[in-house]
Amino acid sequence: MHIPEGLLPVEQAAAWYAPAAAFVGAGLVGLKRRLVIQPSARPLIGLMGAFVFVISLMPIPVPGLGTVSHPCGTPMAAILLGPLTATVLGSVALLLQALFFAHGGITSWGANIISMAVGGSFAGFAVFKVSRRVGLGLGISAGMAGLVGDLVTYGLTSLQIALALHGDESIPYVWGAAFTSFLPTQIPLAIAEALFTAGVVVFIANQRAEILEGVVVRP
Amino acid sequence: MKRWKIVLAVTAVFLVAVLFTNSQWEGDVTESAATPLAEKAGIEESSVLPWKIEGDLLLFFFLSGGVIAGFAAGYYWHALFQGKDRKETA
Repeated sequence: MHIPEGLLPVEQAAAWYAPAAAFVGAGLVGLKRRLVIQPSARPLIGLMGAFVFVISLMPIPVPGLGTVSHPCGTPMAAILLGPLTATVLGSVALLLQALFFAHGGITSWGANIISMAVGGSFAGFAVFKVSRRVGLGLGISAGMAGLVGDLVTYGLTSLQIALALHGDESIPYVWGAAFTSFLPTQIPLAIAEALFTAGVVVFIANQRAEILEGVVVRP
Repeated sequence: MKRWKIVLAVTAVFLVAVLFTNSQWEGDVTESAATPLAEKAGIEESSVLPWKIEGDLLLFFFLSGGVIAGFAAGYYWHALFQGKDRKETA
């Protein structure tokens, strides 16, 4: 989800910007409207913004492999605020990380928005909704959202890498190779993200259940 | 209380495993996956930014970012939960 600067061909980098701009634009419109209608949402938006920034920047080491990677945080934000608002928060986090933290890049910002901000948010939100509708518990649903949102993010990153760098190989082959190389590091992190997402959502449901009113608290 | 003990135990095991793993911990997994393919394709990382942040300057930004985000999270957490456990005070 932090594709470095310069790895994507210019035309592909530009192509990823177009859908990213559409999602972020729609998210900004919704966020502006929400802050007018529901000013009390401001603390939760601020909290999730800080969480997404820290979670997606924190390099977490995976013992035994010697690699580090990042959870996303966007599935959790999407459950609590909706996927479009989570997309905006993820995009701002990715911009700051590209500018000041040597993670990602400006030319690859659009691609990184699509994988982490859009992919993580929408996949996590969809899994949470479906899980609740089929009767799974709140913690299990949130955990599955965190797990799937994380893996979808890295699946999309693998696709972006494959499209850009497949060379003479077929795109599906390079996608598979890239995603497979992510999995040993990312599966433990996806499990950690699942536990964290479940913990935060259940805590908020216990303390401020009204926050979850719009997101199918009861199956 | 039992949950906290489990969390502390898992954290302790994690820290021991990390500290005794003999590794340089260089670069994140996206770079590890993309860099070999980029090298094969003859593409090198480049930056459009007029600055380069590395070494201790990167540490400075990480620490500053963590402090600012931590302050913001604490501020909004307090605003959201009013600084007290609603269950206990209900």
